[in-house]
Order: sequence, then structure tokens, then C-alpha cells
Amino acid sequence: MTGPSIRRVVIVGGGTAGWMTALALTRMAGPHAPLVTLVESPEIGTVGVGEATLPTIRHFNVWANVDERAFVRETQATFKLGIEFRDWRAPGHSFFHGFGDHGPDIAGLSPHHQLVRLGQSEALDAYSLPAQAALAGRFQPPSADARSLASTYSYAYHFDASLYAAHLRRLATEAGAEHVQGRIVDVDLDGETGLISRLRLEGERAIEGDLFVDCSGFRSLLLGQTLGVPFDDWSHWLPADRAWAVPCAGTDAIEPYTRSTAGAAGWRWRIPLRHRIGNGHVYASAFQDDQAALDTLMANLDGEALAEPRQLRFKAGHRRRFWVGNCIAIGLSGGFLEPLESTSINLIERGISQLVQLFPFAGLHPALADEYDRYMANAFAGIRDFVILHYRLGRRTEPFWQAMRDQPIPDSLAEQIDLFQRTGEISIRDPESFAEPSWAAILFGLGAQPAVHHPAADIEPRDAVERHLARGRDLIAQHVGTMPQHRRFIEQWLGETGSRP
Amino acid sequence: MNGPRIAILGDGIEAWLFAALFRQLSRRSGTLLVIPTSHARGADTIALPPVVAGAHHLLRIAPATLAAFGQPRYGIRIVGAGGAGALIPYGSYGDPEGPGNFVDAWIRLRSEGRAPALAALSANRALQSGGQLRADSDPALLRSISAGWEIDADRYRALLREVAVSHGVLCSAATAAMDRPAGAPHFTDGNAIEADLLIDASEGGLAAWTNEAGWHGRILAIGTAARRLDAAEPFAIAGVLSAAARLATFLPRPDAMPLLAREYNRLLAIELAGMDSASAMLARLAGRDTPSATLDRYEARYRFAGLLPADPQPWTRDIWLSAFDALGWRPEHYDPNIDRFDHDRSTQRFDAWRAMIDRHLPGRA
Repeated sequence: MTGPSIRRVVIVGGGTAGWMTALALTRMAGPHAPLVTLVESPEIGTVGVGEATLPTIRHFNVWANVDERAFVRETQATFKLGIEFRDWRAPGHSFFHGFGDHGPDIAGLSPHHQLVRLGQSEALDAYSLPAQAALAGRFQPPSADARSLASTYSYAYHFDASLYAAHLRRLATEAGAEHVQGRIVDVDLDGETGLISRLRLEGERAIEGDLFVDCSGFRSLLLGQTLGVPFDDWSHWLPADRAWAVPCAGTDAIEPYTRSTAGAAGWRWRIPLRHRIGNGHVYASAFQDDQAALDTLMANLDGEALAEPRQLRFKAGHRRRFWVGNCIAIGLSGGFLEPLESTSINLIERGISQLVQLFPFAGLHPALADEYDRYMANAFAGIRDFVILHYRLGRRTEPFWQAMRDQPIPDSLAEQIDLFQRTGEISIRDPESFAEPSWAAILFGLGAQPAVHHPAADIEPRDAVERHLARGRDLIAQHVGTMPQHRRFIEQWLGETGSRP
Repeated sequence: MNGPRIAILGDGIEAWLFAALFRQLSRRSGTLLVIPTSHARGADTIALPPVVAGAHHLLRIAPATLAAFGQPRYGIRIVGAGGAGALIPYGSYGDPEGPGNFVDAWIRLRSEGRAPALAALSANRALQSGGQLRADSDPALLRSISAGWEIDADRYRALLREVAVSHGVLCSAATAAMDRPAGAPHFTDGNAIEADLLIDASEGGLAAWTNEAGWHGRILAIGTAARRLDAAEPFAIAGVLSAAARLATFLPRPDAMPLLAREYNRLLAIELAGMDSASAMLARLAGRDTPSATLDRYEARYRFAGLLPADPQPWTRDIWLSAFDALGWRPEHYDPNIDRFDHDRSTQRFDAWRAMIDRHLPGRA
């Protein structure tokens, strides 16, 4: 162990990652709960666009004692059942990645084997309750009764990231976190240990700490700039390096899903919130100039733009280490993957969860940092493969898409695609990331077609399977018909009675 | 599609256990032929790990049937210098379905130097010491118990054979052999074995087909044939069970054998890594200093953060905790998530659990 026990934690950055970390650390109970100070520096801007999430955020919110209703109300949040992918396989085609399965196993096999056998794999979405509900504009929380069809899906949220940070700031400061605002002008390292000892702020102020969490975003003020941890660049796999973001007025309906629409050199997001719609265009600057990318975004808004467009620049990859000495990077300061599958906050959650578990109360030790690095590197790699997959298949003909299909990909993903196309099997390498139904949704959605199905699928009589599948479709359709419209659900749920419809 | 033709080479417990289980898991897909091989007869008694209970359930082999020629095995008996005679119990500490986390709460107390002895919190250990379970025992206590078997090898093999054959597994009258050093397996009369896949379940009776564990070409080695682990725990049997499940998933299909084999072997490597680290742990408990980088990492996780292994494992967290504690490792800290559960209440739960074991398992030596 190095030095005394850790009591004072200093977080640099007042965006989503910073305040999520602050709230989590203030929620740590017991005699070792740290003292948390968050330094918000004006020159460290927050991304602050509409944010889409994965269902895992609900675990974080429960763990951090975030009241769901207050959170939804204060962040203008909406519910999310998945992502619609438009024009990814080819212009005019769409498919859905829902937060749920495609029905129960059939005779011990994933249902997609029977769909392949019957030549119905194009209809995969029809067996996804969240996909059907989302496309019908309906939402209802899943049932807790494991026997119910309504228990077979999950949900996440869309919210205004700036409002989310503000909401968490209130909760964290109420729980004891100190909020300091000031420009960081220098970072002092201990001459003997090399550990960060204090932050120097403008106006002769200094913030000392035992542990420093770098949530300074792309700037990576502590881990990257101060400690010089190199960045492993993945832009040869994921060349999209810029985005435009702009909010626009909403529509009457609030879709309970994110929409991702492929374009000439990237893709556009559409995130419906209660008070507006968040829009963005991620693109590869080597294939499309900034103005063309902006024009595409602005031409496809559903309503009047509510602010000036903002440009973001980024690079896919992550720092070679996430925890060095007494500094841990959480969020964009540790790495970035384009938000195609809404994984940014998921990576923050996972970083926080590991930090809490490995919290160095008894002092710093390299074993703790090694464990953290190992976990986060695996998390990034698992999501990386899933994101690259979206670009790998499909039939779009623009130079960007041709280049994406021609370039080398990680061996792990190449093996995954090969295995699926020739056997129908899906290999899960990171059990904490996307599960088999997610991979199936993207693979089939992009047009991958296994050459064969599992041999045991043939044991079930064909007509019996067809009846089973038809009944599954009917049950989903019936259930979707009982679900309220998304906007109506939110309004009633947030109403004064507070009771769910 | 009629399904693949699979031949299992071997005539021992591993061959018949694989045959019976695989037949069920693959929903009787294709044909399954067991071809005996000549191999040295093993021990009179064989140990089975707790995980075999799932296979027995699927094969409808009742515990009462096994009790006629075997007895429950409540843990791993360490043989050797350091921990000689020590028992690493199976089962869980506390109710696995209970609130909070018994193990993490214990680690918290251990890091503070005031944990109750683990031995007093294990119903499995009480059973191993001769405790008799009362008929009206608390369901929580029953849920905490997990056992393997120590069983008459010949009778168990015969039972598995009977079950396998009743499920449609065929048995060859002719035996298999292989020309050394690297010939293809064939019948002893010289005829070729017609099969899409040959499963080496010979328990080492045939020469290893390759130098690598797993599936290579049309030969797949399982159990002892895949990896001989000289450990006090029947990992080979656990390996046979998982091999059957894995092969049922990656059932051979046309023109895809190399791809299926690659994925099978990737998963096997993960499993063997877990077994290797568990074996290294048993060796250390027996006083042999076996190098293992993974085990060193587990030790650091436990000592500095009070965390138990989180990789895919043949062992549960509770077994690892028993092993770490038997080696005298003391965590310097613990998972702070457990601080959400009241300290005093945790202590009360330990006391109540220990009292329940004393009350419901009388008659211990």
C-alpha cells in the first residue's frame, strides 16, 4: 500500500461523469465514506446534448437513491425502449434494436434459429415487444411478474444532459459534496511519490486531495495532460471524428426510442425529450466537410432549431491506463466511443461501479489500479466491436461505407461475423455488455443471413413452430394495444396523483 | 437434415456421462455411438462435483438411486502438508436467497479482525462432521447445502450406460484403437470409424490426439482426455458436463466445423483457465507452491480490496472464500457496498445462522 488511507476525493469536471461520480461517492455509507469535492472549471465545457442511455442507468439510479419520478420531471426525460436504425442496411430500410428478447427459446434454442429455418429472419422485429411498442409510440414499464410477456423487456431514458448534471449536483451537494467553481491553473505532483497532491485554482486557491477523479472530458486534464498517459487511437476502426449537435422543437408525439439514421459519411441521432428534440450528426471529416454535414443535419430537423449548432471533435479510443497513482479517469477523459448505441453513460456507470468496489480506503496499491484498468479495457473492447459491427455489413454504396466494409476489423469481431454467417451462432465475449438478442438485432437488421441453422431446430415440426411464432406475434400485438401512448403515460405518471396508469 | 453422426471413444464414466447428457441436450439429434476402448480400470470410488446434480436431474437419476451405492460429498478434503485434513466445504454461507450478502459481510468483519469462524457458518461442514439434518429443517438452511457424490465407480458407470442406452445412444460391439504415434482412430479389426465427429472420452486410455486440449479437425477430447488435472477436486467430470452443453450448442453443421471448433476451444480455454487457478489453489492448500499469475491476482484482489474472483469459475465465491481463509489470507479491506447493510444486523445474522446450524444439524462429532 502507498501512503495513508484515502479520505478526500477531488473530482475535476462538472458534467454528467463528474456529478454521477460525486453522487455515487457521497452515497457510500459507513465509516469510510469519503469527503467529496467537485471542481467545476469554466474552461472545461460540458457536452450537454440530449443524452440517450441504456437500461443499466436504472441500476445506477436505484443504487444512488435517485427518485425516478423527480429525475424524469427535472431532466425533461422520456422513456426509451430501444433504437430504430434507418437507412443503415440500405436507404429506405429500417430495423429496431429493442431492449428485450425476440421471444423465449424454442426447444432449447434461441428463436432466431427457427426464423432462419423458416426463412423469416427479416421479420425478427415482429417478435420484439419493445420494438413493436416503440414503433407504435407506446410505453409502459415492464411487469415484475416473470411469467408475464410484459416482463420480457427493459427500458432506459432520454434526458437533457445539462439538466441531469444539475439534478445530480443538487442531490450530491445535499448529500455533502462540496462544489467549488474556479479555473484550474496548475496541478501539483508530489516530488517523492509522483502522486497528484493538489489543484491550483485561479486566485491563489488550492484544493488538496488523496484521490483525484478526472472527469474533465476530452481534455483529460489530469490523466492525459498532467500524467501523460498515452491514448490508444482506434480511429482506424472508427473514423467518425466530428459531430454537429442542435436541439429543435418537438412534435406532438414523443417517440419512446432513439432514432439513428445513416447518411453519406456517418449517421444522425434523434433523441426526443419532453421539451424538445436533441439532434446530432456524427461524421468522418475525411469523407464529408463540416458544412455539408451541418446542412444535412439542419435539413432533417423535425422542428425549428432552438439554438445555434455546436460542433464536437473527438477520436475513438481510450487512454492506455485509466487509473494511475491516485488519479482515475471516468467518462470522456478515459476514452470515447461514438454514441451509436448510447454507451457513453454506460461506461461512466461501469467506471463508477468499479471505483466504488475497489475504493482504496486502506491506501493505494497497484493491484487495485490493475484491476480497474483490466475491467475498463475489456468494457471498451466489448462495446467497440459492437459499434464497428454496425458499419461492417449493409449495402450502402458511398465511399465512406465502402471504406468501412473494406478496412480491417478486430479479430474478435471478424470471428463473430464469420461464425454467425456460417452457423447462425452468436458468440458473447463481454457478458456485461450487449447480450445475444442485441447482436441478433444488429446482425439480422444489417442483412447478415446465416448459411445454416442449428441442426436441432429441425426436430420441431415445422407447422408447430409456425403456429408458435404466429401466436407470439399475436400476443405482442395484443399487449401493445393495451399500452398507453408514451406522452400520455408520462403526463399521467407525473400528474399530481402520482399513480401509474 | 438428419443431424451429425458422432462417435464417442471410451467405455468409462466420462464416456457414458457425456453420451447420456449430450443425447438429451442435443434433443437426440443425429446418431450417437459409443465405441469402447481398452483402458486401465480406475479407482473403485469416484468423486463427483456438485454441478453434476443438474445433469442427474435432466437424466432423471434420483438422489435415492445414487444413495444406494454412494454417499454425499460435502466438500473438498485437502490432502498434503499445509492444510492436510482441512475441508473446503461446498454450499453457501448463509441463505443464498437471503437479503444482503453474507460473504461480503463476513469479509468486512474479517478485515476488522472480528469475524466468526467460517467453519461454524457452513451447513455442509456440519453435515460432513456427521450432523443429521432434521426433517423440519429451515428452507434457508436447505438452500445453503450443496453436495457432490463419492460413488461406486462400476455401478455408477453401469447406471449411466443404462440411462444413455434408454435414450437412444448406440453401443458398438467392436472396440476402437489408434495406431501410434499419430494414426487415425479406427476399429481394432482395422475398419474405419464412420463419423462426422469423434469424441475422445477415453480418460487417457488412447494416446492424446493432439497436444492441445479441445476440438481439432474431427476429433474432440473431453474430460481427462482434454486436460489431466491432478487435483483434489473432480474437475474432469465438471469438464465433461460443460463439454456436452457446449457441443450441443455448437453441434456440427455442414462446412462450418473449423469455425465451430474455434469457438468451442475459445470457451474451453476460459474454462480450463478457471480450473487451472482452482487447481493451483488446491496445490497451495496442500503445501505445494504452484505458480499461477491468476491466483496471484486473486490474492491481491482479496487482500487489498476484499474481493473474490469474478472470472468464469468452476468454483463459487463461497468456495474461494473458504480456500482463501484456509490459507490464512486476511483482507485489508472489503467491498464498501456492504456498508449499506447495518453492521450490527450483519453480526446478528451470523449469530442466528450459526444457531440454526446447531439446532437443525444435531449429532455432529
